[in-house]
Amino acid sequence: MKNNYKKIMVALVTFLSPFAVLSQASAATGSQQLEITPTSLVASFDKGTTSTETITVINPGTVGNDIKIYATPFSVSGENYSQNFNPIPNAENVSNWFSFSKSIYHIDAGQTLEIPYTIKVPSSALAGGHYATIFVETNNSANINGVVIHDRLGSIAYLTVNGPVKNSGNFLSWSVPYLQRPDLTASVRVQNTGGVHFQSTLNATIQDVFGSTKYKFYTQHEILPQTIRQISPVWPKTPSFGLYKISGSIQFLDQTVKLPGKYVLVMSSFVRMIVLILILLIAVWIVVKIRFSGGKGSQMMSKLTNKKTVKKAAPKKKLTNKKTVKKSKK
Amino acid sequence: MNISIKNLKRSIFGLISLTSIGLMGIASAANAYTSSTANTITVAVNPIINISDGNSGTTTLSAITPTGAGRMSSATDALSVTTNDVGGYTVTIQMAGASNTLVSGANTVAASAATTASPAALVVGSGTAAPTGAWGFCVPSSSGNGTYVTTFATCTDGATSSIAIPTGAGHLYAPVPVAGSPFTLFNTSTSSVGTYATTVTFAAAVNNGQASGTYTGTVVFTAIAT
Repeated sequence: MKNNYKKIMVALVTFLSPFAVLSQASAATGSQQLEITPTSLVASFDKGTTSTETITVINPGTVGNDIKIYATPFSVSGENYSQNFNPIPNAENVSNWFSFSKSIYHIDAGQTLEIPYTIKVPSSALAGGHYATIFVETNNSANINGVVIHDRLGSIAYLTVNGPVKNSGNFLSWSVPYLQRPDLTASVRVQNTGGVHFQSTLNATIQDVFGSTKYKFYTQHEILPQTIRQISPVWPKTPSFGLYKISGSIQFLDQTVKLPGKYVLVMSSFVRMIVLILILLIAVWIVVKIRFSGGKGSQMMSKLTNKKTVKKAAPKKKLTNKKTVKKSKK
Repeated sequence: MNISIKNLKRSIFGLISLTSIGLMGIASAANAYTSSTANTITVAVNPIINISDGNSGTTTLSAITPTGAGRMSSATDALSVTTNDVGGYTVTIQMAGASNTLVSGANTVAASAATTASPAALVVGSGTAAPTGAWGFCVPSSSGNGTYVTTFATCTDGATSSIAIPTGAGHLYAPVPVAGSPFTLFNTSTSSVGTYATTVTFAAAVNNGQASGTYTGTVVFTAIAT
């Protein structure tokens, strides 16, 4: 009986040991992953107040990570909102309002961390919008022959310091080029003329010529003070060819602007080439047709030419005859 | 006759039973109707952003045994970013610090002399003439809903181990920009619930003028909702 038990155990261990090795191997070569929520913080504060917030960090990967957390300034440039996390000379560095009880954490595989941080708004802060970014970054160091990869996730803080501030904006344009290659792209521009950010909500619908809805956009963006933001909704994987109508609306502050329907002819490069070839073929066909009917045509032409020749020749003949007659009369 | 009376009784019984069941059903339905209340179901889905790196945070290039003309090693890193944020997001690459060289003590492998706008094959000098080494990155493939880099589409090296330095199309690399000047790999300004996936190739080339050692640099991939 004991022998049987031993045999069973040996068989089990022999059977399971490769899986143990495999699982160790996969753990060693697992992916480095990081996830955060929220992806942005939108909050209002009175001057001189302090608030404690939290950011949730999840490690859905298979390996543990050291992570660091810190804040940087946040600003944008251009209408496409190119992001900048560097301090701007002579501008207030809002990242100084943020403090963390710890800057380095360790997060095991599958673990969720609630990391608290404090925002202290100076009493001298101006009323209006202030911006920063909280970054969570893997902080693994390795002595290897190559490249250490740090993965970093950012959460933008849109902070409003309460007080009298202008809150205004304009809709600038809605443009959709008539002839496009996939993917179908439109463009909306919204301007913030005030001193604090506001949120814009864009809804757009793409329909085919029969009125059937093919795609719907829904997107929300913060528009920073004294900036113009271009929002370019894209219909991913647009078919290679088709005539579509795009329309929608954009909402911001207390305004709802209707985006009138515009037709778009989508033709991929391949379709354009096909169309070009078709046009060429039609042109060739016309030429061939003319040439094919060229016999008749040339006959007709020659007949016409002959007629002209006859017409032209006839008077001469007549004249000649007349002259001849006259001469003969003489 | 008896049989037909029996049948009649059965029929009446059946009819009464069915009617009773029907009435009970109606009553219970009426009951249900009168006792029902409007019940609105709401659930909040929090916005998340996730970044995943296939190499556990280290992309190790195979050791290079240099020659006078130089040799190259390369390795790939699978990067993916997922979000459910309705505002879209941006993915960038940059160095962790102000320098974009690979460092081994006091020695360095310089960053590629090309630019992200115009990548080029890695170049090393002759013998100990500068540059004795160069390294860079390229993006051979990307997928996702949005605008992503296509400048590097001709990079086809993948993982290599101490090979002769290839030149021409398919072997074009750019320097990883220094911290504060990130290069955008992917950008979308619209609702983009889904995943952006890409493969980044890192390559280093050195000749025998490059001091031996373990050279390291730290690259930061940043994903941020817009």
